[in-house]
Order: sequence, then C-alpha cells, then structure tokens
Amino acid sequence: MEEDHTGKQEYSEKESKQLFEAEFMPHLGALYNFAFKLTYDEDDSKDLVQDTFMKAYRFINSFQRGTNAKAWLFRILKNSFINDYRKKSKQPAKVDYQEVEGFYNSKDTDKPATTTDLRVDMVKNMIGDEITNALNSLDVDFRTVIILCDLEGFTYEEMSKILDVPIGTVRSRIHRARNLLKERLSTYAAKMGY
Amino acid sequence: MGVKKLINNVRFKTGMANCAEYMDLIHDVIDDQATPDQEVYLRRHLKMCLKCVDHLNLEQELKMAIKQKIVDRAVPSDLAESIRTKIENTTL
Ligand SMILES: [Zn+2]
Repeated sequence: MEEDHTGKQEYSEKESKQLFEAEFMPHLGALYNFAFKLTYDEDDSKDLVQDTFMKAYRFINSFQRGTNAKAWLFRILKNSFINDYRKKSKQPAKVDYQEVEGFYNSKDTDKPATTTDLRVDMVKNMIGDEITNALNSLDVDFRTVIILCDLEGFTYEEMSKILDVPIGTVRSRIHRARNLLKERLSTYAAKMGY
Repeated sequence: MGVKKLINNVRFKTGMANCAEYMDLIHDVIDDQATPDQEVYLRRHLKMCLKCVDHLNLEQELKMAIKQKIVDRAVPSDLAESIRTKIENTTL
C-alpha cells in the first residue's frame, strides 16, 4: 500500500463518482463484515459503513488511483469506530500494551502452557460458532488484528498503516491475540468435555 | 563457517537453541511475511525441535480454522443503494 497524503489531485465530479464505484464499492461486503465484528449490531454496522463511504468520498482527492483502496477504507472505518462508536458502547478500556508486549517479549520460553493441552485435532473439530464466539470474546484490539490478518489477509505493513502502529506492535499484537484465542478455545473445549 | 553459524549449529545439535527467537518467525511464515532465507532458517530449526514443529502446526491449523469456519454475513440488501443515493446527492 502506498498512501500519499501529500500528493493531492483534483478529480472531477464525474471521475470521483466513477472512482468511487470502481475502487470503493467492491469492498462493501468486507467492510460490512468488519463493522459487524466490531459492533455486533446490524444497525451500527450499517451506520459505520455508510459513514466510512461518505468520508472516503469527501476525501477522495487524497486517494491515489491504483493504491490499496481496501486498506484505505479499513483504516477509515477503524478510525470512525474508535472515535465515534466505541465511545457510545460499553467496550472495555484499552489494555495496556506495554504490559502485554513486555509479557510476550520476555525471555521465558515456556510461557502460557496453552499450546500443550490444545491439540491440532481439537482446533480442526471446532465448529464455526465456537471459533466465532471465542473471537468475539477478545478485546476489540486483539479481535481487529485477527480479522485483518487471518480473515482479510492484509500484510503486516498494511496492518501497521490501518492501525497506526509500528510493525513490531502489529506482530506482538497478533501473537498475543492468537494466544488469547487459543486460551479461550481451550477453556471452551474443556467445558464441552473434548 | 562463521563463528555465529558455528555456535548456532552447536546449539541446534545440543537442543539448546532458544525457541523464543523462532516464535516471531513461525508467525511470519504462516502469515506469508517471511523471506525465503528466513523460512530456510526456521525449517533448519524445525528439523531438530519437535516443540516448534507442534507450535507451527497448531498456529497453522488455527489460522486455517478461522479462515474456513468464520462465515461472512450477508450485506443488508438496501445498504449499497442507500450509499449510492447519498453519494449522488453529495457535491464535493
Ligand atoms: Zn524450538
């Protein structure tokens, strides 16, 4: 993704609308699903997606044709969610990443013993709802990296731009998110008597 | 053979390699973010370390399960039209 905030161009009204239709609208489904996984609410998701598209259109002159429109839209949606929607909802406060990253980067190799009691077969046998519930139970920042990385396939660099954090932070957040997810799945599996 | 390589070889053979340093690489590899050289470097360790092989397999399965088992919701049928209408009525 090459995002250039300085290289503004002037699209005509007609060009803007064509660009909007060709570059932005194809990502409607992915954006709606991203919004839904952040809000769990159909109406909030619709609002969030509409806001995102309106903002994208209003700032279309800062969008460079041929660059990664999807990442650009995801970034706008994520920022709108943080700024507007999260305030309204009762999302828990942000976790302290310093603590989290310190935990992950510690030299201790045998950290969470979660991998040992959660076998590959069990993950394979999990049904979609179980994985969805485990994902939904994660703090929104951890949920977001899993969505961006595993569901949408963005690169670390793209995620770093979408989330406004350095690549190193993206990395440690993914690891932490996956470890948490495994913990949740493992707890779930134990409860179900796997 | 450089000293660093030699030390690494000894560590591999004696099982003293620090697995923590491979954790990042495991995620990089499953996320397709590693260079071919880095991948070779990891594979070399995997030949000696079952613990990391297990870890890689589990991470890979988890990623695949997320991809395959979390299904997309259908976009509400009126959403695209309502966005297009708003855009039509917007002048820049
Ligand atoms: Zn190892």
